[in-house]
Amino acid sequence: MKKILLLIYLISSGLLFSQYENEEHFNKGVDLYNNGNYNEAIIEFKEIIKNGEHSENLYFNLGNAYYKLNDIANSIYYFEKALKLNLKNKDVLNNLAFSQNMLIDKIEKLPTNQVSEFLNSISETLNVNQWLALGITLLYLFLITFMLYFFNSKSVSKKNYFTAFSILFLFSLISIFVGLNKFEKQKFYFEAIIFENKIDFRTEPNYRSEILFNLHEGTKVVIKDELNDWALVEIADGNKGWIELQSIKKID
Amino acid sequence: MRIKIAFIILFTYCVNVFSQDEGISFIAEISKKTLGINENLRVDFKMNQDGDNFIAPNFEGFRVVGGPNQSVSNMWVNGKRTFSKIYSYYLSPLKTGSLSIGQATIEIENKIYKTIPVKVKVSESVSIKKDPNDASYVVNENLHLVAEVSNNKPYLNQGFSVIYKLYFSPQINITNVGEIDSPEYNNFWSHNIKIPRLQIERGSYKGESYNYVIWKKIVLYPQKSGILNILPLTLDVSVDVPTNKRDFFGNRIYTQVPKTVTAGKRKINVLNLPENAPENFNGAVGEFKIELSTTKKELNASESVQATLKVSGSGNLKLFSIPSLVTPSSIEKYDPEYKENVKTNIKGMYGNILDTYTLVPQFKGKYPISPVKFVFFDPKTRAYKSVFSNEIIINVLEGPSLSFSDNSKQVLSNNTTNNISLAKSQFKFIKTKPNLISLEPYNFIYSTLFYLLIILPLIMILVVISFFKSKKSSDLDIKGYKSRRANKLAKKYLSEAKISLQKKDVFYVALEKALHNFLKSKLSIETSDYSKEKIKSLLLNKNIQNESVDLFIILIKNCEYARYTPASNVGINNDYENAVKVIAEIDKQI
Repeated sequence: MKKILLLIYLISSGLLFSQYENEEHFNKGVDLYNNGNYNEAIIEFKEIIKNGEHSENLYFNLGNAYYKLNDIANSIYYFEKALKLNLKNKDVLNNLAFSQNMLIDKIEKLPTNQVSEFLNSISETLNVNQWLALGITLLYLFLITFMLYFFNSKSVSKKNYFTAFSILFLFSLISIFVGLNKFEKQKFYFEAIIFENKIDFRTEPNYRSEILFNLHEGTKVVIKDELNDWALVEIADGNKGWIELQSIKKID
Repeated sequence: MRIKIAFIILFTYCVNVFSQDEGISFIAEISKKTLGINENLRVDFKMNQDGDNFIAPNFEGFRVVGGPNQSVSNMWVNGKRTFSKIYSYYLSPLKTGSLSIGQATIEIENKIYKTIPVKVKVSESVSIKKDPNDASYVVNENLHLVAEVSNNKPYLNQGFSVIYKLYFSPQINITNVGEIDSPEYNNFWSHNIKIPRLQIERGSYKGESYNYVIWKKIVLYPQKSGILNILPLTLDVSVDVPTNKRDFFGNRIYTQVPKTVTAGKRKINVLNLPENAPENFNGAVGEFKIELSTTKKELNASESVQATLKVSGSGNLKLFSIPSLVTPSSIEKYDPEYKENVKTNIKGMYGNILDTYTLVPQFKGKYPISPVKFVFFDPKTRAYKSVFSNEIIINVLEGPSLSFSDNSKQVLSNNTTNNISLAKSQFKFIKTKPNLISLEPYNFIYSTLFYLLIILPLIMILVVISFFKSKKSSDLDIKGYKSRRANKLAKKYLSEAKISLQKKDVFYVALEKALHNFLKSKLSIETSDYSKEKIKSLLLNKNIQNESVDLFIILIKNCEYARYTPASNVGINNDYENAVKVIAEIDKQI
């Protein structure tokens, strides 16, 4: 018994220690950044990730530090990572726009139809876990109303319960479906940032094939397929091509 | 006899004259029968009547050096006509041994005449006698045109020079020089370096001291690899050669000899550049550096800034283009203005070429202009070299910032397109609160808990439904269900009344009590003391149908009447049925 207690104490204190240590790294990084030592600030911030923790603020700070060093690709990469954790962080979007100012390529986005735009905007209001939690909550509310309906003998309240439980059931199914759909999409949806200064997009995953066009560092691409050391990627205007995997970094 | 002889002589003479007149001769004459292989031979085809269609023999074993020259002489001497026409050729033998000159043909007065083939003996070369007093010989020995090529094996686009020098010994004087044939430089980029004044310099030619004049300087850049020809330069020179004669004052008399000199027919082997040319190589050969400069580094949006990309050094500067400037897409870039400050000397082109771009940034922020890579081939080290310009960051202090709207998705997927918001937003400072979370996210999806939470309500519903079904299965029809419900209610409220169906008094008392009890349990109001009107309005307030209310009131009335009036059993049964019915109906409606 004593041994177990000791073990729990040790583990918890270790956790506490690492948490404390990470905050220390973070504060140090902020100070270094403020003093203009961007390179050292980046080292401190990255130490936290090495210790197994992250946050949108951390990624935001990393993006800022790289921006100050004029490292376009890394700056955009970390801002995008911050956005992965919170899609609507205004400060991140603001500074990302500054980083994107430095991009060499200008890519016109494909026009999307309004329906899918609308559906996407709904799906993006919550993340996967939030959608699922909402769906399950609604499912339990549905269960309760269903029971109420079932065990109620008064025909008027029964009618109300019936409409309530059917609506709840429908919404619960929709939100669980949206959550699952989003998760499945994410599983095969990898965004990446080009890190190579200039990269050729080819028709096939080998060096013999024809070069379609080339792009410069910092551009965001979507990985569609992979083969050995090559990746088929799509850019915002819908053009696709094979590039070397090593020249891009996945945002995950 | 004497007369006879004289007559014969006269006659023969006349015949001779006649035959001479009439006799057509066509002969080949050669200048010498034996000659050295380095000597020339003259062949004359001579005829004494004018003819047509002269066909020269095919001079096998000879090269025709000159000719055919035609000469015609027509003489009248004492009324006598002598005519001769000669075709002459100058031949140079190609081999030693006995050679023959074949037959020439001519058509005279519609008859074809042929010459007899002539044999010539060609011996080994004989030394031509040198006559040091012969002016042309002196010129030959003392005047030389030389083309000096600085590099016989240049690389493609590597510059080299050709200098034409006219050497002449101090013995002779040059009075006039004219260019007959200017060389053409096909497949070369050429630049003629002008010589303002010809200057006589001293030098040596084949170990002897000579004077020389640099006649022409040319810088060439080969534009094609392989063996290229430079055509010769031919000069016509008037030379004053001293003779042995002296004039009255004892000075030497000079004779003027015209002389044609040729030099510089050269083959240049142009080497191709090595195969492993790096990307972006645009044909620059030489030694260069590249610089990037801007007129200012800080400005406001929509102001303009000039960026100059300068390539300087030596090499084929005019023959390649400057690599283009790469700028961020959100900066407006106009086509560059090209300028060159290139001079050419004997070593080639040197100086600089520059492209000046006008840039107009659109938004506030930093604009890095990435270093420009310039690749050239260095013929000295025989390798490709890359040089980079410096990187320049243009800082735009004031201006609109690239849009970010509340609709996050738009910016995310829109990646720098034209949404310009005029909001003056600043580059935000970093966050000071860590808000750290574990890197390993809790994966709720597809976890056991997830499945459990979803399946559990469904199981519960299934259990409930199956329970309901088993209950229902005892009696499926709706009529039965309804009557059973009515029976249940009746059992609850009318059980006492049902027992005393046979006894009129007891039945109505029980029925009235039961009706009031029903209201009490449903509306929780004690109604036994209320009047019928009050009960009626009470029930109507509860949204119960009029018919049911009326029936209820009638039933209560009947109960009151029955206490004082006799009634039949049929009435009792009827009232009981009505009570069951009205209770069921009101119960449904409350």
